[in-house]
Amino acid sequence: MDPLPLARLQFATTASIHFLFVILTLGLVTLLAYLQTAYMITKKPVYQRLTRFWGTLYVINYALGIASGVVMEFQFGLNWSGLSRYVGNVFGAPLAIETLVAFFLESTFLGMWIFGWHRLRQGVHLALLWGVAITAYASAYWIMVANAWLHNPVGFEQRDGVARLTDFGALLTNPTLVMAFGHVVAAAWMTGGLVMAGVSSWHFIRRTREVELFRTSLRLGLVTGMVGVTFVMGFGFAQFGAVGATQPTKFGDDAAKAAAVADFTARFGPGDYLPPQWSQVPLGFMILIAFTLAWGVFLIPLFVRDWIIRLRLPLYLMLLAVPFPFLAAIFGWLAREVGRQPWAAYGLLRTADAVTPVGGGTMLASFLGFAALLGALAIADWVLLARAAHRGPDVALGRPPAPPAAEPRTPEPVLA
Amino acid sequence: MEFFWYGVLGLFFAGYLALAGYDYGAGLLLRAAGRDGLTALGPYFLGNEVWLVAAVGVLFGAFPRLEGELISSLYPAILAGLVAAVGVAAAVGALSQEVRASVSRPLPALLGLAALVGVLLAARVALGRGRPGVAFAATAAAMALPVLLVGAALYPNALVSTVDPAATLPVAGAAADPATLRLLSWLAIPLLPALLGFQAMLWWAFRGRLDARTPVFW
Repeated sequence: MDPLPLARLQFATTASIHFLFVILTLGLVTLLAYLQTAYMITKKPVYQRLTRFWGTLYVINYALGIASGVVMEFQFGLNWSGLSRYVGNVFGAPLAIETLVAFFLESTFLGMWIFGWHRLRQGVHLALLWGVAITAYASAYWIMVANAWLHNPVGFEQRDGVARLTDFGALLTNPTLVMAFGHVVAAAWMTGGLVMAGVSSWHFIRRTREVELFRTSLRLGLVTGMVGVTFVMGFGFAQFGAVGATQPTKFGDDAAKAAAVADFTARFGPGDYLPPQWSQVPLGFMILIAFTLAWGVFLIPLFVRDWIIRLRLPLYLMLLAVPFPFLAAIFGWLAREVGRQPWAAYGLLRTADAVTPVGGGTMLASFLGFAALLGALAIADWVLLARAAHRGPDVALGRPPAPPAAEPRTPEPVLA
Repeated sequence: MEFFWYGVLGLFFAGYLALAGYDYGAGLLLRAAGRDGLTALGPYFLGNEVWLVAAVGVLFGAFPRLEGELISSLYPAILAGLVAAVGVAAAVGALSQEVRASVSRPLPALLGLAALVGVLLAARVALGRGRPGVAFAATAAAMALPVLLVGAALYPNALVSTVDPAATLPVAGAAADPATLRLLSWLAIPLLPALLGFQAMLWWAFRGRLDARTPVFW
């Protein structure tokens, strides 16, 4: 059995599932930072209760997502040892920076935030959440630096067949990075916002009594989702130019494609240098989803006199919308990553040369094991999220401490 | 430069083994220690797990060749470990195999082993005398010591091949290009104290004893 397709399938599975956790984390942490800051400024209890409720969903997603990230990280070494051998000097740097600068701090801050309710001073507690949010964005940025480098290797020279870093600044201004990072962040806002609006809608469908609380999160969620959808399309379409210039075999015209193939054939010998035909199909579906979700902007005027709640149909529409940002994200990554095949690092290292030379059986066991493990994680995540979302805003996270129990009274002797 | 980064790598692996050791230990002793054990661990859990992620990150950034060789050549071992506990203890098992295979400098290895036995004995004695804090410190040292042990025993090699001496990978050869290490060093030197400082803050902020008010999370 050929290990290459199995290794690719495994990467696609791991990265897709990992990213489902990532966009929700990144979107929700943004909204949480807003909610807790609003509480700090206005002192309205509703904002604190919202922070605690959405914080619970956020923490569930984070705690289960962390494992998918560990698998992601190990996978480079396990299945793609060619990457570390030939381009590790350059590609490894942003990954190392991500773990040290961003992820390590993010988890440390988050642990303190979860358990720091009513124990740390309010300002410190809010600062911790901002720390979590900032490091989450930094984490996304450095990962995209690494990813963009694979799409358009810059700032290096090749000596003895190994890529060596010459200009780190070039990695940070990579034309395939800037728009892609904006696209990912906007997708996270869209996802976080629409999940928030969808869950709030569910509670209104069930005629919740928590009207003030869920009205606030419904409005906040829908507005954030629509801002996200707008920017996700802006940054998305803006990428066509940059990607067309750097990856002619993906979005270039026929002449550019032929020129690129001729160049690759001259440097690497004859071979198939065009991505599979179907690789742009998911792109079409993704664009379709974005255009459909964008209609949600017409629900915003219905905030007046709570028509959005009283009409009820908008509630069902918003509930229905929840899975679509996730689907669109997977479609988007498929188009981006399959569309650059057969390259692991575009024009530099072929996917077939990057894969670890292990037997097909080992690779199959690895794929099945990780796919089952991560699939189970994702399902557990959704079940736990759905349960917590359904249970509503009376959550354990950040519950004010109960007053110390009164001393057990010794019974008065009756016949003394 | 490579030595500095080798030390950083060791620091994160040792930190992972000691800190996540608490997590796994509390998990193993769930029946004996009960939920209080997990509750006590709560605030630190995420902070403990990330030491592994940071260690592998440093491995990839500063020692890409070691990363590729080590992880891919021990594929089944790492696969089993990762699947079993999503990333627990896999690297430990891998490293301990290397030690048995070939020890290029027996003296530090023997000293290290003696120290390991010593701290474990110290833990037992301290526990017997009712000093749980000392016993805890000793077991934590026992978890972290193997990293120093393996590092010192194999130095100046990072990975020793018993099959083909030419395949042995020295630390200097496993490290990334000097340009990459310089870049990472500029970043790490101001940052490491901050990372360790925030971890210390975490431990300090939740130093109090468990009481009924302690939030339960499990």
